[in-house]
Amino acid sequence: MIMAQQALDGSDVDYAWTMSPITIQSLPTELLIHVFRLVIPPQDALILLAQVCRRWSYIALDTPDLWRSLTWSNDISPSHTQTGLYQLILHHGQHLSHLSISFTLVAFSTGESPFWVPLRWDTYTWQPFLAHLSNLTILSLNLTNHSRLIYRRKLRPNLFLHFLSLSCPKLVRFSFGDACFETHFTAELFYPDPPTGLPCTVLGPTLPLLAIFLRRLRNLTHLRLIGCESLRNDNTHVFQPALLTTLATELGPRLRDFANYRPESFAAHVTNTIRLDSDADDGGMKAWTAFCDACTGLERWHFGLCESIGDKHMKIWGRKKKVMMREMSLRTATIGGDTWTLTDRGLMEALKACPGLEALKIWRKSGEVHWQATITDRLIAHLPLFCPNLTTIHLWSLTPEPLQLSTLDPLTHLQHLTTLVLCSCPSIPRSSLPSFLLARARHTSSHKPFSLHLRDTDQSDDHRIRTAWSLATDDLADWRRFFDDPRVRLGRFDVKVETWWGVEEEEVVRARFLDLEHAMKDAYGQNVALEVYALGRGRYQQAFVVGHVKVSFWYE
Amino acid sequence: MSDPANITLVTMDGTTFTVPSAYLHRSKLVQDWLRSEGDKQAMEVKHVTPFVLQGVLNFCEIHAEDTSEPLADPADPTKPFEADPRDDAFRGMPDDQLLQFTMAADILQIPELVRLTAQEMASRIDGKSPDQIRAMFNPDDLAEEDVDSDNEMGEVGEEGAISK
Repeated sequence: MIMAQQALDGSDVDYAWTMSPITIQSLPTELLIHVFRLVIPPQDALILLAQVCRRWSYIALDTPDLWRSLTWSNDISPSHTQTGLYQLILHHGQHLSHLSISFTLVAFSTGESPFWVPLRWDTYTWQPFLAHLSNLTILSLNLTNHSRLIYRRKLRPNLFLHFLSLSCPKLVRFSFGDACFETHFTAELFYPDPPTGLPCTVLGPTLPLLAIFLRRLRNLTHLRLIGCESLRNDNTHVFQPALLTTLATELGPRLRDFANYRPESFAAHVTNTIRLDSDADDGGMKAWTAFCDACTGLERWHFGLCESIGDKHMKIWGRKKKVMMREMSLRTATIGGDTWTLTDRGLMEALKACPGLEALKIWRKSGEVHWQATITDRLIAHLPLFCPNLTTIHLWSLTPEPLQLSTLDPLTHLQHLTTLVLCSCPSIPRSSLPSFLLARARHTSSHKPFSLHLRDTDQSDDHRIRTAWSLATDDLADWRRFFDDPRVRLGRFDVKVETWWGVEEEEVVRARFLDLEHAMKDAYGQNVALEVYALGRGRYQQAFVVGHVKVSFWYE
Repeated sequence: MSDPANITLVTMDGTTFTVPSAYLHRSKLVQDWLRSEGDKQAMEVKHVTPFVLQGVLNFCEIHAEDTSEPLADPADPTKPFEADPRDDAFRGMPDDQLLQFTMAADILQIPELVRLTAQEMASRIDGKSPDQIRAMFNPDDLAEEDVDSDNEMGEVGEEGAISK
């Protein structure tokens, strides 16, 4: 502790009287701006801060630096309306660099109108908005619950992109959900070349026009054409392969991020994909090759896979190294084509080209896909060789076929791995999991814990809560050795059993898991956050059960 | 000439503190002074009280051996703020003291301390109404004409927009 050597009068310092009359008004403007910048959420806080006093008002409302970013969503606040957004853009639009707009259509409470539409979602409302956004670099535009939006309120894609590309020439990142538009912004709307040679202005963005827009946006490096959440069953949309040619020609190596589905959410039901075989001439091979060879600067690739992509396509992808690639997310969707021809060999060809990959996420969702040969022990064995820097692996399957993995041992060689998420791997012996976790131990610290998330498979009764049972009964001794290790520090130990009761009574379903609850509590006491809950589903539907185990730990 | 290994700081009331110069390697003001006037006996820190300077120097002592790259700009958005348990004393202090430390950090130009105190101020402001903020930070200091009684400055309107 540092102490004062002397005071003027030679006595100890009396801290009470030495407190100077510094107040909030004494702080320099730059310092207040710094404080204001740290308050979250920024724009709402700034509006409130502006009401504290005259000086704060000037600082909050008239400092361009504080208005570089604007997130406007009626999920965040019901006061986020069109009027509010419009006024903010009029006042601060020229300073805005980042703009994220997300609206969920909600029911109107007074009954005057079926639904309250918070934003006029038509192109001509947007034109004056965009005219004030000349410095915009990032635009994210999304609309959920879109089926409630009347047709004439939707954006006209060609016109919107035309205004956007003229008004916001500095745009670097552009992300939008296809439900914003008059018709879904999907493949059937990307007409490769209308036979007449004239742009199609009615149905949606045509590829020739998209090429013009992309050419205008000289700084664009991130493009996300994402599907919106939908409750429909036919939830796959298909892009024409010529989209790949357009991306290769107009963006090429400057394309850093490409997504054709919403990568942030497992729950999103729509997967956009590119159907290569829809090109009658060469099965889309020319377009695919152009994309793979030209877009070598990709850092993130969130790609919807369908049956039209097989081993031969992945081999072409792997022909040119993608040394910048850091995150690859592949999501499958069946579009009713031929049988899948993508195997672990194809996937290995693709991964071989990405030596710097840090995150690999594979999501298999369709209930009809027979793609069981893709994620295998052989693939896992090659991961440390091809992608030694992996920090995150998600292998998630909701298909009828579980993943064909029987061991996690090769992953112990991935020194940087901190997150492993697995779903439907019934062949991995649960008794091997504690030793796998301990093998990770030397790579962990309180700043870098290791997280394992296992979701048991829902393919058969035996598998549905296999990991939870192993924790409680079958492999209790192995798990206890791990949890009782005095050097293990638990960040998280959650076990969740979800049950949906249908034909069976809720009480019957709950009773089935009482033993499990008691055994878990006896074995782990307060260390485990155990949750067994039941939800109703159709009265005539079978009960559905699935277990989750999440462990996060580090080793001291 | 002063000992180059140590530096003496004099506060507004003449109280002196002599500390190893290495403690203050993150203070741009002190480093500039050492370069230009390092041959003088002591550096005056006129606007800082002994109480606050002692706290600042304790912060510097705690972080003297940190190996992290010095922050060039406390507002650098690319370097997210991470709470350090060693700084808990700063997070627990009353509002008026926090203001004094924020000011002192700014005067001595120690970006890490500016960031810490600004972050703490922001978290205290977060979620508060204008009246609550006025009450927190010395409302007597706000002259009547400073307080926006007629909503001229800006108001969350019916739809949450700024009325101006």
